[in-house]
Amino acid sequence: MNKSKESERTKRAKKELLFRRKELVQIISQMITGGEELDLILSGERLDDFFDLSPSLMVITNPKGEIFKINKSCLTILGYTQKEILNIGLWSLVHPDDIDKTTAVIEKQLRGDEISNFITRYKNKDGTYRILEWQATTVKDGFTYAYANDITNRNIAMKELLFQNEEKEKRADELDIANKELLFEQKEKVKRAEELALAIKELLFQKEEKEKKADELIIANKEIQFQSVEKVKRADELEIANKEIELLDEEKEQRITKLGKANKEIELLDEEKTKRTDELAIAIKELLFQNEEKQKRADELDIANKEILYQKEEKEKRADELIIANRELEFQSVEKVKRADELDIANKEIELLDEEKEKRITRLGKANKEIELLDEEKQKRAAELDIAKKELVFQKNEKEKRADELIIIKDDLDILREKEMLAIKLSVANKELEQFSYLASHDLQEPLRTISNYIKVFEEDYSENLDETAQKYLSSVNMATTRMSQLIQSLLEYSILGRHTDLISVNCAQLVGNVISDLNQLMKTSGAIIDVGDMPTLNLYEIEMHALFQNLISNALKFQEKNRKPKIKIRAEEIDDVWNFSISDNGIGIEPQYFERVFQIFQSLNTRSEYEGTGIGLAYCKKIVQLHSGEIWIESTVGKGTTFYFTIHKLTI
Amino acid sequence: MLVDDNEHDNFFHEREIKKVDASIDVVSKKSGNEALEYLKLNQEKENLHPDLIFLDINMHGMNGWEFLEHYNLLTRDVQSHAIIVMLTTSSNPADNKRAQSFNFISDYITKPLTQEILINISTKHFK
Repeated sequence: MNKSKESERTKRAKKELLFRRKELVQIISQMITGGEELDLILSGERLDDFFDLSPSLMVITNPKGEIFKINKSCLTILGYTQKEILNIGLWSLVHPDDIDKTTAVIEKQLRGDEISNFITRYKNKDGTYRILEWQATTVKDGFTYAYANDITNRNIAMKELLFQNEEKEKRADELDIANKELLFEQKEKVKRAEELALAIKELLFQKEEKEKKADELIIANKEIQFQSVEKVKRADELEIANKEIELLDEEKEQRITKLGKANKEIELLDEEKTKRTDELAIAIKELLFQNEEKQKRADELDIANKEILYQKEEKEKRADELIIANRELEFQSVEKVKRADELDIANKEIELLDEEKEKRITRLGKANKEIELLDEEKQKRAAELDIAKKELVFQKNEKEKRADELIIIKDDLDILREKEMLAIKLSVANKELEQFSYLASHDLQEPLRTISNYIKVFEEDYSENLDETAQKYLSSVNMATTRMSQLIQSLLEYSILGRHTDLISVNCAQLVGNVISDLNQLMKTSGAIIDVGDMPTLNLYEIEMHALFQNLISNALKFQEKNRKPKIKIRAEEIDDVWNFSISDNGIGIEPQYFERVFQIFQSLNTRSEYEGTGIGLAYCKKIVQLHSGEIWIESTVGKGTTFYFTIHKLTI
Repeated sequence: MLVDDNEHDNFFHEREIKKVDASIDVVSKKSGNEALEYLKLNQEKENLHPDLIFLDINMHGMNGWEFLEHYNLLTRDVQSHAIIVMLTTSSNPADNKRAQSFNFISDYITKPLTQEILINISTKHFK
């Protein structure tokens, strides 16, 4: 509403302005074109009228800038009387903010420049400012002719226009927004319409459902009718039941009386209860007291817990220390690895040492032979001793000879001692040997076994491709390896003789019986007959004795003419503190010069092809007999037979 | 099952076994460890349990004795089928006695395994 008034005001203002401008233009154009009217106008009165009539402010100033003449419009627009204006001067009415530019313009004007369309504000007497648009010209004599239009209203109108334009734009924006909202609402309406359609479909569906329910209701009603019939029946039954209840009521009254009695009993019990409650009160007080005690315990627990916390901290410290310790352990395990490597090197050194030991073994072999020689010498010396002793009894005068012989005996004893020393060294060396002997024999046997096994495989798998010669060769190889294997075995047995056994009581008859049964096969093939006499029970090295008998008996069976049946006789006889055993055969016999030699190791009297034998056996036997502190010797006739004698001392366990 | 680290011996012995009865399945293991693994692995499969184990004493790594100690710890149902025979080069009587201390060792024989020995064992234990 304000807007429309303002726009009307603006319109009116604009119209006035235009009208005034038109007037001015008319006047000025008349002035320019000249004419009679112009003359008239230029006459004083008309000029004065024109001056005063002009709606614009007109001011004439003298060269000093003082007001020479002003028109009525000045007074009306500015609101002052002529006297007042001439008093105060126009300059004082300039708006403070426009003073600077007005000053500049005036200077221009005084220089003689034309001023046009200069806008500045002048204060009206009522205090408001009028916006004036000045035109000014300074003529030759220094007078300035200036006129100005009051464009205040125009400004206001322009401002209002701008403002209204802005408002219009805002409305336009608001309209846009409103339109968008409308569009959106329309879309929403469409959605609602769709939802409505769905809702209507659901309603239709529900109507159908309702109709179904209605049908079901009808059925239900029929059931209800049926049930009401049933109810009538029940009602009849109820009457019957009620009569029964009356009967029960009578019973109830009876029970009530009983209850009365029970209640009295309950009263008595209540009295009891009060007594109990009093007791309870006392108990509660006790509980309270215990609770206080508990509190104290709880406080103590707190303290204990704090201590535990403290100990936990301590544990953590230990744990840290452990971590450090573990790191040290790791370091040490690294060190261990280094040690292990060093151990490897040490092991290799040990291997080298082992080689050296083997060399010593050979040397020891030689030492053993020396010892045997010494043993024989000892025996000779012992025999001589006997003779010397007998001579002493009969020849006391021959002390010097005895003395010499004693010296010899001493020498012999020295030799004996030497022998003992050697024997000790030997036993030490033997112990070393023993350790290696099992391993060595095992390691030596293995490749031999491999060889003989592969030969066997060869013979079996390739027998078709091998001719007789080839097979003979293979067979020779096989026999050689077998022989070597036996040799190693015998060497082993020989070397470890007596190490692991203890003396035990042995029934020799049983022992011999076992040996014979072991040799059963050999006996059968040869058709041998063995005659065993009474045998004692002695403390013996059982395994070794078994081996001894086995060796001697198998020899008896073996060293026999081809077509002769072996006859073997085994006897035992007690002589002083020894038992004298004999094994006699009817074999090929042994020549006397070999009686000693046969007991030497590896000494075989027959070529290998005639009688199989490793040559170790009798040396073995001798060693076994010596183990029992006995002796072994032979009596034999070539071609007739041989008897082996050996003595076994009565040893104590 | 043959437990022996010597391939040649396993080869020969398998041959000998097959000569006695070609239908016998022979499994060779080159160490005590491998043998134990095999037994444990085939716990469920009864038909793969060995009926007869020939065990060498001297083997690299786990030797025959160590194998027996571990074997002793196996469950009964793994053990129960097998007859164990020590088959070794060692003629050391100490080894023989040690073998007898294990009550599930049936025999102690020295190599090589021959058909004769096999027949003896089979008549002794399987018939």
